[in-house]
Amino acid sequence: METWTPNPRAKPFIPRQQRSLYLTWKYKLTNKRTLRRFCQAGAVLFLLITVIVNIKLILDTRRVANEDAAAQDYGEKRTPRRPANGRKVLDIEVYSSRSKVYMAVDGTTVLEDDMREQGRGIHVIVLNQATGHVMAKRIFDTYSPHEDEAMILFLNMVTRGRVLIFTIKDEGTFHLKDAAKNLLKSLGSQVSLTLSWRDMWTLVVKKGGQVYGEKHSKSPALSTWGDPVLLKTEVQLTASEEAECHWTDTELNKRRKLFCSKVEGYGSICSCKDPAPIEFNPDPLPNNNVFNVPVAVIAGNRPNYLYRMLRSLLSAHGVNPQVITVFIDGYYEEPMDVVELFGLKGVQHTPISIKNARVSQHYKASLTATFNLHPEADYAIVLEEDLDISIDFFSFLSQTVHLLDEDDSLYCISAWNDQGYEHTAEDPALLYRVESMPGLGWVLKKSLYKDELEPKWPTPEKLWDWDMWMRMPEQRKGRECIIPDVSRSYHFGIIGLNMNGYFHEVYFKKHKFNTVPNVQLKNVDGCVHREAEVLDHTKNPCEDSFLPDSEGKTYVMFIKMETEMDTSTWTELAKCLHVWDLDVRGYHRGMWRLFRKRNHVLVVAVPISPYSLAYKMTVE
Amino acid sequence: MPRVNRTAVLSLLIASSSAFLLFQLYYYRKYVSKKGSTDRKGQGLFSLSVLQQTVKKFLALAQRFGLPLFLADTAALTLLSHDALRQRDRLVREPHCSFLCTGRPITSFALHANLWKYEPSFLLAAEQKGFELLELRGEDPRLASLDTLSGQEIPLHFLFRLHGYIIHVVFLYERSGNYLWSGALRLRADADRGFAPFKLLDYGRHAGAYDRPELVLTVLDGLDVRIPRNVSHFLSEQRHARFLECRYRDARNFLQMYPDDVSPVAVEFRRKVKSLLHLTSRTLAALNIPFWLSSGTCLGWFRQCSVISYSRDVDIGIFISDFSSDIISAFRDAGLSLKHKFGKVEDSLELSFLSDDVKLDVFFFYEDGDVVWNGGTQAKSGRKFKYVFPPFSLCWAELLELKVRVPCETLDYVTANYGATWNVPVRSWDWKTSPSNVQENGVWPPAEWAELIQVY
Repeated sequence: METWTPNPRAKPFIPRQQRSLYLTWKYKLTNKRTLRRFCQAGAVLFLLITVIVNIKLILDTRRVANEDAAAQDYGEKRTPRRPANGRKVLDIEVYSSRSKVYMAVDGTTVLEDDMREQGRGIHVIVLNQATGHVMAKRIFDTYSPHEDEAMILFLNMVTRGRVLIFTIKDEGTFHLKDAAKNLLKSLGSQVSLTLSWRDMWTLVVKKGGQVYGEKHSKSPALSTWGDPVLLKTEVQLTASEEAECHWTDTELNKRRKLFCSKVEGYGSICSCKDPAPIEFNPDPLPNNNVFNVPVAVIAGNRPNYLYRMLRSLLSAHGVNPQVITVFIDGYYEEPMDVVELFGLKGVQHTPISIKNARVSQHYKASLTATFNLHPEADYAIVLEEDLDISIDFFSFLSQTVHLLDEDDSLYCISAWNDQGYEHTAEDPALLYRVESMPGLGWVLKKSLYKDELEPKWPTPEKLWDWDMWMRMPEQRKGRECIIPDVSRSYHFGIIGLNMNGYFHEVYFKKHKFNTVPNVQLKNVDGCVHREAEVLDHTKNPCEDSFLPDSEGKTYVMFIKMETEMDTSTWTELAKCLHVWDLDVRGYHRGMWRLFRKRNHVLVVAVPISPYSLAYKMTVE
Repeated sequence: MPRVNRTAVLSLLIASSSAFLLFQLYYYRKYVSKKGSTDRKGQGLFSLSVLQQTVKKFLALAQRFGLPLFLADTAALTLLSHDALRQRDRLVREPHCSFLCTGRPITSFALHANLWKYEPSFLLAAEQKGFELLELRGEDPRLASLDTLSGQEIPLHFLFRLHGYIIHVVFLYERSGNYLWSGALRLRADADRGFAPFKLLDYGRHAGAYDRPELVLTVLDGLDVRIPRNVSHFLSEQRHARFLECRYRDARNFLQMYPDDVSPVAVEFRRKVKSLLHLTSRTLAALNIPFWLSSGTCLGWFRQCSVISYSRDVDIGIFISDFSSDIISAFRDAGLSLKHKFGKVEDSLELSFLSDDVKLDVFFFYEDGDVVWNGGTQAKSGRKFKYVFPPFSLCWAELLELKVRVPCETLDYVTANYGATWNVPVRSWDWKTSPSNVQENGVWPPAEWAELIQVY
C-alpha cells in the first residue's frame, strides 16, 4: 500500500503546513482496514449530517413561513372549485301525473312536487343551454284564470336558445286559452292544441330550436286523470359563447352578464341588442334631508317582485344607492342575484320560526342590522319587496322627516294611506295625521327602535304580526303617524303570507299612487282649520247623490260612535265607500279624511271625537 | 489498483458531499435573512425619491376617485409630531423627503369606509398605474352580533405594491359605539405570503378601535395629505387600539340554554345600566382615566354580550396609579351620589355610587409583583378581602353601544373571578365567599374605621 497517494483533487482542504499531521494520517491510512472503515464512517457521518441539515432546513423554512403568517392562522381554506362538467350531453327525465311531478337533469332532481293540494298546473323550468344550470323555475296554475297570461309573458321573456321543460301536475288546461296553446305550438309542441281536461303532458324543447321530446296521455273521462307519463331524453349542450351576448365590457355589463348567465325571466335586462338599463341616475333632490338615511328593503323569496321594487326605488328622485341594504329572509340565490345585478348590498338571514313569527324575526334582525351598519343614522326607511316606490318618495320624506324630531307625539312617517283609493284620494300635497301605523314604506326613528321596540320585540315563539304588534297600544302609546293623502308607495304583491289575488284586487289594486315628481307638500308644520259644510244626513251615504256635484269644497258628515269599540257604523260606511273595512284604520281622534268626487270629506265620529264639538258648533 | 480507485471515488464523494452541504448552508442563510427582515439599509437617496413618487402617484389616484384617506403611518406621524415641536420651519422648506421616508418600505393610510362608495374601477386604475394589489376582505362585524345574518364580505385592507414599496390602506368602519373599527389582517391559505413584510405593518395584527379623528389637510414633502389634527393623541390611541369582538356565537349558545329575561323589570334594568355606563364613560373620559369592565359586568360582556339582568350593579376597575381625587366630585357633578367609600389610596380603595337605583362599583386595582388585586371591605365588621387576578392588559370592546375597555385576557380574568364554571349562571352570589379568587385580608384597625369605612 506504500504506493498509494491521495487523489490530488481531494487535497485542497488539507493545509500544507500540517504536513506532520498529514504524515501521521497517511501512516494510519496505510492500514487498509482502518482506511476503509474510516472512509466508510466518514461517508456515513457526512450523509447523516446532510440529512440532519436538510431536515433542519425544511423545518426552519417552514417555521419562518409560519411566523410570517402568525397573524394569519385564521385564514380559511377554500374548497377548490369543482371543475366544470366536461359532459356535453344532459340526460333529462320529466314526470307528469295527478299527484306528483318531478324533473331530473343528469340524475339530479331539480324539481319535485308531491305535496297534496299544492303545485297544481304547469311547471316550467328553464335550463342554460351551455351549462345545464337551472335558470328559472315557475308554476302557472292554469286551472285558474289569468295564469296562462302570466305564462305567455314569462315564456316570451325567456331568451332564445334556452332549454324549456314543461310538466303538468293535477290539472293545467282548464283556463289554458288558445293564445297560450298556440305559443306552446310555436315552441314546437305537437299536442298543445289538443291538450284538455286532466291530461298529463311533458315537453322538453329549446326555445326557437329543436324539440327534444314530448309525451302526452289523454284523460279517458271527465272524472279521471290521464295515466302518468315519464319522458326521458337527452339535450346536447352548446358552446358557452353561443349562450352569451356581446355587450361592451363595462362594470355594469359584467354584473349584467353574471346575472343573465344565472337566471331567466327578467325580460329585456338580458336582451343582447337593446338591454334595459340597470343604472338609472335619477335627478338628485335639492336639500335632501334623507340622503344619508339608510334604506332597509325587507325581502323574501320573490325575486321578480324584488326586481320590480328595486327598479322603482332606484328611479326615485334623490335616491342614494349606497345606503340601501336588502335583507333576504333565507339563503335564496335568485333574490341575491337581483341585488347584485343592481350593485346593492344584500344580507341573508337564516330563517327563525315560522309564518308570521318568521317575518317578525326577519324584521327585527333587519332593523337591528340596519342601525348597526349605519351607526350615525337617526332614522331608517323601511320598505318591502312588493312595493312600487313613487318618484317623489324621497322628496316626500325629506320634507317631513324633521317632524319626527320636533314632535314627540309622532310614531312614524308613512308613505301609505290606508284609505287612499283612486276614488277617495285627490291631493298629493296634503298630509294627514293618523292614529294607526300604516307601514308599507315608512320612516322609523332610531331611538324609538333602540329604546322601546327592540328590547321587547316579540320572541320567535310568538306567532304575531310585527305590524299588528307595533299597532298595539302598549307600543304605540297614543302616538300618531304622518301620511300623505295620495300614497307614495303602491302594494303590488299578489302572493305573500297574508295575501292572495282576491284580497289584493279588493283592497290594494285600486289604491292611488302618486306619479307627480317634486310635489311641494303644504302645511307640513301645522293643521289649518277649514270651513266645512255639513252634508245632508237624510240621504243614504252609500248613494252617489249624498255628495253634491261640486268641486274643491270641504264637507263634514257625522257618524255614531259611542265608544272606541263601537266601530260598526264606520265599517258600514267604509264598505259602501269601498275603502279599507277589515279593521279601523287611518283616523285621527275619531275623524277620517278622504276625498269624494273631488271634494274633501271629513267623517267625524260623534260623540267620541273631539272634532265633533268643533263641527257641531258650526252646524248650530 | 482497484482499491486505490475505490478510495479515490470515496474521497470524491466526500468532497462533493461537503460542497453540497456548504451550498445548502449558504442557501439557507440567504433564505432566512431574506424572509426575516427586508433590507432596511438598502435605501439610498435614489430610492427615497422613488418612495416619494410612489406615494405621490397613489395620492393622485386616491384623489381622482375621492378616497377619504388620511395618513396613519405611525413612523411618519411620529417624525411629524417630533419635528413639529423641534423645527416648524422644515414644513415650509423645499419639498424633500423628510417625513414620508421613514426608512421603512411601507406607508400606511386609513380610509373612512362609510364615506366611500366601493368602486372596482379604482382598483383597475391602480393596476393600470403599475400597482400590484392585494385586497383583503373579511366578515362584516356589524352583522356578527346577529349571527343569523350573513352579508357580503367587506374590504378590510388594501396593499398596493410598486417598486417594492407598499402602500397600506386600512379601512375604518363606523360602529354603533360611536367609534371607528379596523379589521385584523388575515391571509387566506392561497394568498401570496411574500407580497409584503406583513410583520412590519402598523395595522392588521389585531382588530382596532379608534375615536373619529379630526383631520387637517397639510403639505408633507410636497404632497397634500390629510393627517389627524392631534397627532400624538392619535399615536397613543394607535398603540392601545386592540379591539376584541364579543363572542357572539358562544353568547348565542349560552342564551339558548339560559334565555334572557325579557320582563319589563329586566328591560328597564338594562336600559338603566346602558345609560349609567355611557355616563361613566363620559365622566372618566373627561378626567382621562382609563377604566375597564370588571366582575359581573365583564362576565356579562364575555358570556352573553350583554348585561346580566339580575346583577343589580355595574362594576368597573381602575388602576390605582390612575386614581385622582377628582373622581368623586366628577361623578357627583354627573348626578350620581356617593354611596360608600372603603379603604384608602394605599390599600383596598373602593367607591360606590348610586344612579337611579343602580349601583356603580368602582374597584381600584393594585399591582403587586406578578399579580393584580383589588380589595373589598365588609362595612359592619371591618373585615378586608382581597381579589387576586393574573396580570392583564386592556383592550377595547363594545357593550350596549359603547366602546369600553375589558381585560384582553378576558377568559383568565373571568376564570380567576368566577372559576371554571363561569359559564353557568349563579343567582345567589356572595361577594365575600363566592368568588374563586377571594382571600381574607385581615381587619381594618377599628380606630381608622371612621376614615376607611364611609357609608352614606
